[in-house]
Amino acid sequence: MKINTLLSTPPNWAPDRNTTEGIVVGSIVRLVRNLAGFPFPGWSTAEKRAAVAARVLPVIKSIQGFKTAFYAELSQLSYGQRRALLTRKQLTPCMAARQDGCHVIIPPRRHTLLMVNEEEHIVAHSFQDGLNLERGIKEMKQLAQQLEQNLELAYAPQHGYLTSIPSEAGDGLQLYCLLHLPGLTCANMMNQITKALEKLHVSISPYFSDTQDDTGHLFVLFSIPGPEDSVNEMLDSFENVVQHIVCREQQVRRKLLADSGQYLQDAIGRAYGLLTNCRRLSVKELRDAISLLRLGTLVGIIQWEEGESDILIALNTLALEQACITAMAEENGEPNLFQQRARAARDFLNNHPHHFSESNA
Amino acid sequence: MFLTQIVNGQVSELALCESCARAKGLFDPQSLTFAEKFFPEEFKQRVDKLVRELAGGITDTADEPAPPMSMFNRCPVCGFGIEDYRNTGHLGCPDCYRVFARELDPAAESEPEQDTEAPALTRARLQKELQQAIEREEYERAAKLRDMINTLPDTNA
Repeated sequence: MKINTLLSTPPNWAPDRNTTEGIVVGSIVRLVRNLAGFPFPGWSTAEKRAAVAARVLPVIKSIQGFKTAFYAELSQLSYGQRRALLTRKQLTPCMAARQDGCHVIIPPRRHTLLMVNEEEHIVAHSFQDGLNLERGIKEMKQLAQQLEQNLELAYAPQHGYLTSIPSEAGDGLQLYCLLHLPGLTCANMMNQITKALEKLHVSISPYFSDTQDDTGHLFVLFSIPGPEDSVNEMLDSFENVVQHIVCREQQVRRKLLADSGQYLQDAIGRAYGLLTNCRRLSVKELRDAISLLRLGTLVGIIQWEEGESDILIALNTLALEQACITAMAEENGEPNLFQQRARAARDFLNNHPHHFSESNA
Repeated sequence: MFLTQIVNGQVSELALCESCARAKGLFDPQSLTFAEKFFPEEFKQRVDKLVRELAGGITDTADEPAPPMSMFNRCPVCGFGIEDYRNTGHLGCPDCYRVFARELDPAAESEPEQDTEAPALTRARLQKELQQAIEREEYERAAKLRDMINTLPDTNA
């Protein structure tokens, strides 16, 4: 598969169904493994990284579903392509900065991403719809078994699987969730939530890590592994935290609707008006407006002829497509990016029949 | 490696050899241009801290008491130093876990059983790895493992 084909299709992890009222957009389980006898990638040389890749890549190619995957060494990808993959969560920030001997592998039909010589020798992400960490853990454990059968991995009985950061050694599995929290953001409660989560060894950061703001109201929740924690121990407490945040978001949405229904309808209406009539649109404007349209859909202010689930996915796809076009703009020489973005938003609304509900005003 | 930082018109320039850059926690110098492009704010803070450290010798941990020393200050397999670990929180290779065991788990130091048993276990493990390295024709690694074995106390004595 070529990079242009990959970037022109929605990411293989893009959700195809929605759960938890669209608040949990997706779950990610991260698996890390290192080879015995090689320095960790951050302390390695290009030759050693190439030697690691030479051992790992044939094993990955032999795994079912990975033969026809997209394979690329990072030095073959341009800045724009890396930025686009970063936005699509098909590359990590750490990996985007790497060069020779570092590879990214994206299979077309599996919800998986594999990286060789990221922060660790082998890093795999399993993406799942909604809150579905258990399925991701199962998938990653299967992959780990297949790797272990064919590679000599760095393991010590007292530490577990060894990683470049000692506190992360253990079963080498980490849990993440992607959350859409427009209610909590609009109610200025994100700072409170962040501080509370710190005490629970859970961190939350904006999805678009290239900015420090909460553009698009999308966040990544990450369970910080403790030295003795196994993934099964973390799973229950992490899922509880996620459910708690979902519950708070739902409460805030209901409260906003009950106490400030007009304010909410106004904000969603303005976002709708912007997307319907704009002739120039910035990335932030687009992301925020799409977020409000999602919220409007979920609280019933906007009703679509298509199913709710389909339209939420279509809105996500629009945001991702535009993020990719923006990332690649410098290289593709797109002079009219703001106009193009505005046209894409107007076309989207024209192609998806809908109407406002007045009953919530 | 050259780093130039301009703050309010004041130019600070740093020239570091690759090993010094690594010792300061600047892994993979090739990637610094990417870091500057992707995360300009974080990159600026990192360089700023480095300039302050080199100019004034003041570090964030200056007031902290020195942690206990390990048996080795540098991993004989990958060359990673214990100071690198203290500065960055990262290790250099899987063997660093064994080399810096006391640093990673200071409690292990007070357990006498481990003190008497560790060298023998370490020797057996290292000899197995040495054998594997020779079989794989990784002579550079084999030589490092041989040196590590030679530095261990003789358990037959």
